[in-house]
Amino acid sequence: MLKTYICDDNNSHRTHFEKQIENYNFINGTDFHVVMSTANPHEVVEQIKKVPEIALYFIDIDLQTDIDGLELARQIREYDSWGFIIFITTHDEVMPLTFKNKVSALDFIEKESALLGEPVIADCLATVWKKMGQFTPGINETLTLKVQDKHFSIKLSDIYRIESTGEHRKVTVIEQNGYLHISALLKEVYDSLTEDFVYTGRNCIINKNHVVSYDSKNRLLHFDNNTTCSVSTRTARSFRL
Amino acid sequence: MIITILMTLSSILSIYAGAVNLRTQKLGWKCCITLFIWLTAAYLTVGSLGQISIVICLAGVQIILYLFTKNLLTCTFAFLGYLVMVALNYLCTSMLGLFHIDMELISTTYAPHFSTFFWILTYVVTFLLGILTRKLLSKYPVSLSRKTSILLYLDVLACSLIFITNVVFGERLGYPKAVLIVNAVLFLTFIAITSFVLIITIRSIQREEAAKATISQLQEFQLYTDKIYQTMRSFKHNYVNILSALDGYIEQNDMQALKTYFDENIVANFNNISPDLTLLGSLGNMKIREIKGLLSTKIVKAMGKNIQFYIEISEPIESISMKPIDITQVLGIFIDNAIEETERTEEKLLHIAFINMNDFLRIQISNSCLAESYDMDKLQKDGFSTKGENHGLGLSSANSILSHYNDIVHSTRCQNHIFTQTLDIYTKQ
Repeated sequence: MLKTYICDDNNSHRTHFEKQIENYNFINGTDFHVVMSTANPHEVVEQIKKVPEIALYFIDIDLQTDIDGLELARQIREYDSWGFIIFITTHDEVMPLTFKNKVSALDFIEKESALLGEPVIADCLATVWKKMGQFTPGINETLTLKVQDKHFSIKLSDIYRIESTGEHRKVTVIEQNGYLHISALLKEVYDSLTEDFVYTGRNCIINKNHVVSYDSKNRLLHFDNNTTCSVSTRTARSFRL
Repeated sequence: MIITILMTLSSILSIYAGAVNLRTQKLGWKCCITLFIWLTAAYLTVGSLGQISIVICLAGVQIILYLFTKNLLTCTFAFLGYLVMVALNYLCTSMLGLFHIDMELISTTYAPHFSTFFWILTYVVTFLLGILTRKLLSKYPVSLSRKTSILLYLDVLACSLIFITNVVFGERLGYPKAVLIVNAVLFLTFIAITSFVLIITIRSIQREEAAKATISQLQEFQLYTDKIYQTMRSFKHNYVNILSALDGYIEQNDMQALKTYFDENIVANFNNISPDLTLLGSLGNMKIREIKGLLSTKIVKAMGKNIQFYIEISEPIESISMKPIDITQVLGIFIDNAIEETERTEEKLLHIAFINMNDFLRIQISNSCLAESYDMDKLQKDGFSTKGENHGLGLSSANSILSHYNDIVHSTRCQNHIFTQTLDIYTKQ
């Protein structure tokens, strides 16, 4: 079962959503349980304060009250950091990047398409149900680096390798589908890492968990995202995997 | 014998210090060794020709530096290094003159002492000046156009030629004391004045260019607002048409026809009827003029290529802790690359968001791209590009600007045919 909240100031929209969810449950055998359908965002916050658990939220952006949908989402995130937030918007209001970054919104439903009968609600429900199945809270250890006395965190399991760039005291953190530049000293970074991480040379640290094979002839490590990394002669001995 | 070697070495090393210590970039050991070998060779072969040999030495230094770095600014600074050396030389000799020390004695008995002392002095002074220049350049990076850098180079070249001529004639005349002092004073003021004038000129040129850019941005923005106005007018026109059609059906009370009309003309064309005004409203939140100008220019550019360009600025952005010239340059490069890439895709989507994340300002540029994901090893290398040389150059110069800021986290990702550049700019305390 997944608790589902709907917050929209328009009565007929809410009914439409409730009906769509009910239909979806009936057809697909899922269990989205609408526990609250309201026009008042504060009611939602009051409710989840009592029992914080992972839930699904459909939130209208323009709630015609003292707070808007984005602020409601922000308050929800204080109690439910892994829940699924889906915004109901009109085309002109959509700010997908902003909402995704600020409150990790999962998706957006455009009122126009929802009311014009496109299967957008069903699509969202399908995605959420699939994600529910895969969800494992697990340990999320992070590497926390300081920038201007503030913190910047990177999930350890996301890191493939870390290299120093040689200039301006910056390091490059390489992840599965991207990389980032951040100012830090490699040695200091190494000290705050777990033992899954090892040096492969003076300027490079790798995450052993992502290594698939070691080519000892060319001293090359192969990672699971098809990248490679060379190993210095000095450290090569420890890589007879 | 030892004295001769010592003196030769001192002379070579002081010219070498002038050429190398004021460097604006890393030269690499190969370049340094080539320079040193050249100076030694030149000194040993044509050194006996007196100060004329200096001309040959310097010409070689300039050629070597240019071949290794391809950077006129580095060559210019090498010349400046030489000028500093000459100025120091004058200063020293005139000091000696002031204290009534016999020049004859200096150039004979105390020659080794003097040249060693002079070498160390040159080395220390140019070394300190070099650190200062590099600090200043990294703090206020100058991006000179090819034309200005050639002009700057010629100015310094002319200055050096006058110097050398003066020194050569001075040598012929046997360095009278009064002339030396006057020379030193003249040259020092000359250096000061030209540097000052140059800096002022460069600044005013930059200001002028910025003004020109603003004007052209304004013009483009005008185009954009005109287009918006036209969209609005056609929207109004459509709207009135639709309403009057609906009115007709209602008047006749023809429910069936009304339904058909609604389904066929309104539902089916919904996106065509309502104009996309997301852009303009959001842009109003950008309070930094330079970025606003840049964004409107890019909107016009993207519009010409049928790209769907969305700008998200949910809260007013008053300031960014980055210099306007740097942030506009970096964003310009990122957006240009995004436009170039997304143009070749079917979706032609381009999103830019300025998001206030409390601790930092996040600027995210994301576009649809052809590749599902890129090879991270290649992507990470400076200058890598899917689109050939020029494109890559843009990225690497953006990276080099960003490398001067240690309170920015820059990330690049590519996943599910979406390419994303993110800048997290931490606010200064």
